[in-house]
Amino acid sequence: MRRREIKGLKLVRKSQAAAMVHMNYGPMAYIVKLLVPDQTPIEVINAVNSEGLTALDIAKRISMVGNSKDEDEIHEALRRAGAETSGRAEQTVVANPLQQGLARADSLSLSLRNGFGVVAALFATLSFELAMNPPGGAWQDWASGTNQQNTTQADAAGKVTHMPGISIIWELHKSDSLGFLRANASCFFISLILLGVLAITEYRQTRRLDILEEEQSVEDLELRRRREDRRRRRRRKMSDYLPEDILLNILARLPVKTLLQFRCVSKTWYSLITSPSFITHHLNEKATSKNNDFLLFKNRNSYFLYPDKDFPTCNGEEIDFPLHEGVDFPSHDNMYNTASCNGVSCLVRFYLDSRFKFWAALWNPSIRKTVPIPPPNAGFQSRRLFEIAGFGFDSINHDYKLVRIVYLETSVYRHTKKTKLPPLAEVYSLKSGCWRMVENDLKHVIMEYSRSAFVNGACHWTTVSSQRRSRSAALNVIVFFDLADEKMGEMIVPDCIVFRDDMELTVTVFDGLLSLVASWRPNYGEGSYSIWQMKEYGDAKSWTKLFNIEHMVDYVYDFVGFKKNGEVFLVVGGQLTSYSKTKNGSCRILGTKIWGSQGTFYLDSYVESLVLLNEASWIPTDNPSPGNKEANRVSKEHSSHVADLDKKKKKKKKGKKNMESPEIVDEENRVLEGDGCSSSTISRNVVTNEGNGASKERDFGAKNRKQKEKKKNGKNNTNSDDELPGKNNSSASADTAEKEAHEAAKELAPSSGSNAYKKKGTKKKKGKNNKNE
Amino acid sequence: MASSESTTTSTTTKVLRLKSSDNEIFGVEEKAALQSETIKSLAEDGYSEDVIPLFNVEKKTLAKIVEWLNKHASGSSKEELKRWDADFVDVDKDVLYDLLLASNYLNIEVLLHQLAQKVADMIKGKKPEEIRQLFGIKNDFTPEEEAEIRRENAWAFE
Repeated sequence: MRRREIKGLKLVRKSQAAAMVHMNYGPMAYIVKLLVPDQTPIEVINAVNSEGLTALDIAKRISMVGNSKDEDEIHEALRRAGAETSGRAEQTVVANPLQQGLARADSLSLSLRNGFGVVAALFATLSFELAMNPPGGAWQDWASGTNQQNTTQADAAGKVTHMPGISIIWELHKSDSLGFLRANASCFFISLILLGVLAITEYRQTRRLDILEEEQSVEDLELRRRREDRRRRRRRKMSDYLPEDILLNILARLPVKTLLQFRCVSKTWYSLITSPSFITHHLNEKATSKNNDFLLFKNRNSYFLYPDKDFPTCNGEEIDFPLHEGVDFPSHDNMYNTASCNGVSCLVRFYLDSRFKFWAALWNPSIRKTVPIPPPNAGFQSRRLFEIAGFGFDSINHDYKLVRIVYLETSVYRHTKKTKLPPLAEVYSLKSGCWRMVENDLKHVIMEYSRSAFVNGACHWTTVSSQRRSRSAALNVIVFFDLADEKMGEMIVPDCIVFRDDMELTVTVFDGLLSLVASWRPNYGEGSYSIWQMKEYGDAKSWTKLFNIEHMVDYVYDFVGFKKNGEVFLVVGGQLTSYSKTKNGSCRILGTKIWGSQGTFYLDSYVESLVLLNEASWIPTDNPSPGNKEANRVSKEHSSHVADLDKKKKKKKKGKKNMESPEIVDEENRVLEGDGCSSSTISRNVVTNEGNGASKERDFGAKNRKQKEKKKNGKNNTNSDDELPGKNNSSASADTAEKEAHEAAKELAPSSGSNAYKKKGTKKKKGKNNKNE
Repeated sequence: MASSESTTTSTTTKVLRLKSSDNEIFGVEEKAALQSETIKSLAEDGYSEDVIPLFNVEKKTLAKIVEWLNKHASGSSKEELKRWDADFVDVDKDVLYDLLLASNYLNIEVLLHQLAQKVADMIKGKKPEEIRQLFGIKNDFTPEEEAEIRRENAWAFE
């Protein structure tokens, strides 16, 4: 009995949370009340334990076993906090009434049955004993004068004719004794039956308990098996237990395209993949691992991504250039790729006329994302001659920077006064989103169309061979701009090139080192190409000639780029040609059958990366709005974007006016009003406004869009009306007579006017901006 | 394997005894064992005389790890090692997972990289759905959110 009781209790215990079992109910109610204030979130209250039971489930279970008065209080406290029973609990509770009924029946009938059993056994023994040994005993001998034959007669005669073994009472009081025997016998049998019944019920109950226990243990097994299964399955599910650093280690080895897909695996993966730290990790992994070298190849206006080893024969993947000519940017003409860095290529377009316009965008071809760069701050009154750009990564500030160097007439040709001024330099930082003027005292003139080479945290350009002022002064130098400290510097070229004014120099990067391609092109004959490398950055003595390019049968137009294995690509006689040195010193010249001339090709080592993934994207103009099919002669596919184009242009104009207004550069290249930062903050505001507007626009329907556009048109009109007189004044007061300059002035509106006007103009604009907002 | 190794090793090379979580002891030459940064630091902490307990590595996994450590300390040629490694990591997912965890715990950089690369190669080019199944990840994006991500870089899902 005792054992069973304990078993029963065990059964209950198994399904309870361990903590609850050891608690007394009285204090527990209090504790539960304390633990469960009314504000406890429902999720907390309804959290489930390993068996899927909520707090209320457990409380209910306890109440089924015990008889505490406090349980109702506990229930009440839990319910008030919004506790619910779990679905699972119902299942497990089903076994409980039986169990509990049994336990209750046990405790109730236990003493009763025990008593009955004892009494029955006592009575049975007693009656048996009485039957065996009747009161008074039995005759021990033969009665005198009796013979055995006549016993029956003697009885009949009432004589005492006893025989041994016969009960005395029976002999003497036959009728009484008969009643006693009957009573005794019935007592015996009743006791026996009672015992039997008790035995049977006992047996049946044990059976029932056993079955129950068995069921329970089967259930337990099942549960354990299921749990084990779950654990095993979970083990198989790697990422559940895969530490994050291992997962990152694995993900960093995946190609960009796969990673972009894997972003939608789950929210965790999304945030892992898009986190800046992972992007850096991935980039480092790609940059250091072998077999991940790519070449970005531009052939006229198409871009291709080639695995380095396969260029140019096969496996090139054409990349859609994400921006549309004539829509997002004016034209492919004069589009210039600065050297790519960390998988980001910077596209720059200079306008060759003197009107101020500068267009630039960052582009990561592997994620096909373009990020716009706002127009610079500085406007120029003096004629600009040309511009140079360089792009790279500032690893100290973790920022991507674009540097733009503008040569005005004053900075190149004013030799007579001997007051040649340095060019204007501006830096755009992707992090801050603003342009900033950079002081410099650059004496050398960077060659127009000079390629930029980004290496060692600095952009490098080659210079125009300047007139020799003294014998010792170097003629040819490499000019660099350090992106971290934003300072210009000069670097010496190999000795044998320094004083050559008949050589054309190109800087490039090969094998991670600054390299120089020196070409000498006489009017007749073969000319010569030599390739140099600076083995130790910054050490002019470490310039080493890698090899000469010899035995060219045709005229070398242009140097295009390197492959990882040292193969050089040149444009020779209108054909892209590969040139390589073999180990025994001979050379191998291979025509690629790709035709072009100077400036047709661009080839750059490239690394796949996720950089720019989190930057605000250039909103692509691929919202087809039918019905606007005229006006786009450039490309068929762009024809449907006219509406958007118009809008964008208008927006851009507005932005530009605001941005450029406060700053002027006069003939002496001085900034008259405002400094870089104040104006750039304005420009940033405008940019963000634009961004907001654009994103809003995406959400609105076409109707809204049209209405908006109308409104904008209206505003723009009033804008220009207001400004027109000022413009005239300003252009009249300005002593530039050229038409182009006029146009520039119109475009830049107040920038070229008097100070008084300028203030007015800016004020007006501010007012307008407010209105717009 | 473990016991035979420890007995055959000559007295000149020190043998470290590694104990797995299920109390199996493996004898590994010091030179081989020290490829693991964790063992190295444990050995420096004075565990080198007695058994080094590795609570996070099971017998089965530790046997493989020991195999790898010995191979990589044996001075085989690069080509052979490369081939051997390729075979070594060519195991089923569960074993790979155990090895990953163990090599992470034991801090064996080279092995960890090999294994990570193996998993990367395994999941490269798989669809997000397949990844979810493989890793047992629940998709907690709403269909709209997922569609938005897919739309953002539609070309990557082609």
